Amino acid sequence: MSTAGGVSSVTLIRWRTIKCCSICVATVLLLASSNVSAHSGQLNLKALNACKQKERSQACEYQGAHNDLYIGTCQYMADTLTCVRNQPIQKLDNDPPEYAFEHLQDDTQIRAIKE
Amino acid sequence: MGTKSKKGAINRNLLVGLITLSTFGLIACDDSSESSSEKDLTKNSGLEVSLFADGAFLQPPKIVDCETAQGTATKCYQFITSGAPAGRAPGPFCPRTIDDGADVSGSWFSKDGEGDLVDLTGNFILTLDDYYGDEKWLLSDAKTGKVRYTADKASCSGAARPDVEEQYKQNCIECELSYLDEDFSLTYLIPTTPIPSAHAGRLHTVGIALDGTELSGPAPISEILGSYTIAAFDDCGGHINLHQGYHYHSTTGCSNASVSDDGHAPLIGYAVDGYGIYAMRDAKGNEESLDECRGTTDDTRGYHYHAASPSENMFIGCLHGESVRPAGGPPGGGPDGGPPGGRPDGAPNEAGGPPPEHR
Repeated sequence: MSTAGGVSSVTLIRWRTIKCCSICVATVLLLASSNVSAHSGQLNLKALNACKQKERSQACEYQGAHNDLYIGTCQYMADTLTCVRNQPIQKLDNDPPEYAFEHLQDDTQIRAIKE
Repeated sequence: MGTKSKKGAINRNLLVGLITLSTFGLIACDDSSESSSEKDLTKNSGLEVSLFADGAFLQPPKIVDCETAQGTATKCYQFITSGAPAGRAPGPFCPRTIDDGADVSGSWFSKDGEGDLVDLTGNFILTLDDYYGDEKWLLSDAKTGKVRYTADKASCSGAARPDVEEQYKQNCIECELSYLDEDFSLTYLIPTTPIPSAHAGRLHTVGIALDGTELSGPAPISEILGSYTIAAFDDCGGHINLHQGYHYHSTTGCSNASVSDDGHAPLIGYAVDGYGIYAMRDAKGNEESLDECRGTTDDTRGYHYHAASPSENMFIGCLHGESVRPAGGPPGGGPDGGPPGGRPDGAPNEAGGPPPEHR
């Protein structure tokens, strides 16, 4: 079996297979490396996400798990830009709605929240 | 000398070089827009050797000539450590059964990345699937109640790689100091007098604790958890690997100096640039507003840092001062201007050093 160019179709198929595999491998590697880069060494993804599309030393902030506000600047931890808190942890005033529901007794306020 | 022993010697030298490099961690990448020297006051009190614990070093510290990564010739303390914390035995780390309580096990980062470490009890191991919202977690045997942990050097080494082999996944990782090479040592060169840097330096290895062990950069949590492993800390916030010995990822007070008379937070160690690192809160439990490196200046201490909370997976934010490039290190270090020896998967090293077998 041969093609008009003298190259066997088996060889052509192999070439295509290799090319296809190479693209697949490259894509996987690219995705893998970007994934590693996005998560390397960081526990708190909120801190990481707070510095997405930011540069070093730019201000950042994120909300912690207990209604805490973390305020800092973006810094490199090794190669990963993350939000480094440099202010004392602040408690947010705006309680979550369910918390507010439990504690508010004024109907007007409750209605306002419900809206 | 046979080929094998030559190779061994070369590998050992390479390892020593890489470890030394990791120890300094350094190489500031001058990509900060803000000059930290502008903020600096004149007082830059140097490192106080007497504050280190007895037995923190293998040899009495020496003062040697050194050159910072920024090219400044200066004097440095040379600290040689054994990789073991002075004055205490590390551990415990992993619980052995799902019934083990906090008194016989260590600790781990809170999943929220804030506040204190959480107790690594047997029940915590048992409920990791709930804790992380991933039913694949299975670090204990349902029939026997035993916790899977790295019980020997080979499994300790194999489980703490960036590319964890299948057989070592689903493990609570712990290592022992006895796994370290007989002649294991780490060398730190830290400027005797801190030199404010023109630009804040990128952080790899953070510094050295008062008990002589390393204050390391952030642990690679996503990789650890992604392999369904827990790189257990003891209650002091540290663990052991074959490259760094015992090292801290958080501070819970074990290496603290006594509280100063003025109520300032206690000293926990020194950064690789020679500035002191203090605990997060002062004697009254208050925390200060800090600069971007988590530093501040006062009349007593000059410029100094404050560590973040235990579960934040960091001590400080960047290096305010110049830090030292080890002798023999390649110019410019690694591809980002940092030290060479990046991980094979392209992720940064735990402490900016050699490719880690361990976490």
